[in-house]
Amino acid sequence: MTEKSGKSSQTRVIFLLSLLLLWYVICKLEIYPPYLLPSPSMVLNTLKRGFLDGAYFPALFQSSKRVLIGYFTAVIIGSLLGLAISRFKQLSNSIGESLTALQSIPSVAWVPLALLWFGISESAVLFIVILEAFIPCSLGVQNAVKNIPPKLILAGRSLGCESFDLYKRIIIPAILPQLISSLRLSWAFAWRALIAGELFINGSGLGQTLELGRSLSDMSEVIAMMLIIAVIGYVADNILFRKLEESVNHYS
Amino acid sequence: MLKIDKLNLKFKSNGFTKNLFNDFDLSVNKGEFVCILGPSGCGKSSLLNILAGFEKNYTGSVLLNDEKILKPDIKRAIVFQDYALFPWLNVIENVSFGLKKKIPNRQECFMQAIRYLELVDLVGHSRARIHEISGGMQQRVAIARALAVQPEILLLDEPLGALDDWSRRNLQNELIKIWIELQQTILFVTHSVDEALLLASRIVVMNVNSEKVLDIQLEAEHPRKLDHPESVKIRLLIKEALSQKLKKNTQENAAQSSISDNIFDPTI
Repeated sequence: MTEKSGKSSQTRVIFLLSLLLLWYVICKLEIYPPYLLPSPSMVLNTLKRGFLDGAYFPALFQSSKRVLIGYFTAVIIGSLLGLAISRFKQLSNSIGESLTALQSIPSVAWVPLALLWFGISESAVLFIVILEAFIPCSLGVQNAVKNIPPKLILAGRSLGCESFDLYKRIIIPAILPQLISSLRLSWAFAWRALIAGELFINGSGLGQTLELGRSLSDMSEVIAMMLIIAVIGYVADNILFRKLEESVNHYS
Repeated sequence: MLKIDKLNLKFKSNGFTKNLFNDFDLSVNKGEFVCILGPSGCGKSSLLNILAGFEKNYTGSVLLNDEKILKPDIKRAIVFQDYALFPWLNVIENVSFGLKKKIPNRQECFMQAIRYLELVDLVGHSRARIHEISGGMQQRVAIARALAVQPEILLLDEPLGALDDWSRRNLQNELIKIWIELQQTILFVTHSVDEALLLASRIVVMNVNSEKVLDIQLEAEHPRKLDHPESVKIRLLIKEALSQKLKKNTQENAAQSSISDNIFDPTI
């Protein structure tokens, strides 16, 4: 097992290094001018400067704050709504179905309305993040409740569980693995929506720094931001949520 | 103890309203081991759903100790064919599931659960996860879970149907042991004539129209053999009872067993 995972992480490192090498070679051959495609060392320098003189920290802090507030609000709304929809047929026929339609609208499409309603502000970004992130969570919970074997619920009821107890002792534990997967999906949506939203507002944040780089034609800043966004997304998704998923798996 | 009078159950199937049971009557005394025997679709599972309290839209009277059955209660514990154990809990947590309210202390709760695990010979596996043990063992856990709440009547819905021969025979012996040791009243639904002959102290046969066509006491001592004269005689009676009624009703459709759409009904 350890040998296998050692091997797969080896492959991963080799792959990343060859990508880097490819990038380096293209820059060395001067196929594109540096203002279009900065070299790896230029991006590295930008990153170093950004972290060393502390310019990135306010952006990181603001973005994390926004995404965490938005994400947790979305997850609470989404889970409760999902439970409510799976409980009441009328809700599932009305809200339940429109959620799927809502999900197909990408977050950027909400930006004009959000800016109009909330101004060029924090709230506009939060609105977009919540709107994007609550849907996968809600759909996931609905689906998970639908997939609970009916006999489990009957067994619970005949052993004295009704109403609130039934949720606490049967429904929530039964859906937990799928709930964590939905939380993971919601996280991915929230993170993308955050960056998209931040491109359009003032103040500090990863998205704003990226947008600033664009307006100053500083592509190494843009790429540096993209790297940071990718790394944070990867860490949350593949390390945090994967651990969480493993810990609630009924069969491990 | 259990008294069913003029039971009828209407349900919809493919847009048609059907009626099950047509004034079905049954009385079960304390300590009896009653096997309800019948072909699939005869309504024997629906009967168990009514007794468990999952199905309340029946007419007629269904009383356990003079109390009308309208919702699930630990006085009537049920064991399903597919075990329905909770996979997020281990063996002993499953067994003590129904005890939590009665015995708030976790330690005492487990002590009680251990007693029932002993009864089904599973103490050594009390910390095992559900997916780690075999089907036969899972069903024993389910039986222990149902017995642990000390129900007045134990309802078994084809509990051995999904097991291999060897596990089935083992569990049949365990059930007899439990019935004798705890003097537990048991209502056992099955479509296997042999199983009924081996286990029951009384056999009730239903036909496809959910009518009671035979109700007979068994006297032979346990453990029984299928070639025991009594078993041979009763097997013939069962066969006769089923074929007679079948001839009479061949044109009529078989009733389907059903359970309410909404398993969350009625109280949440």
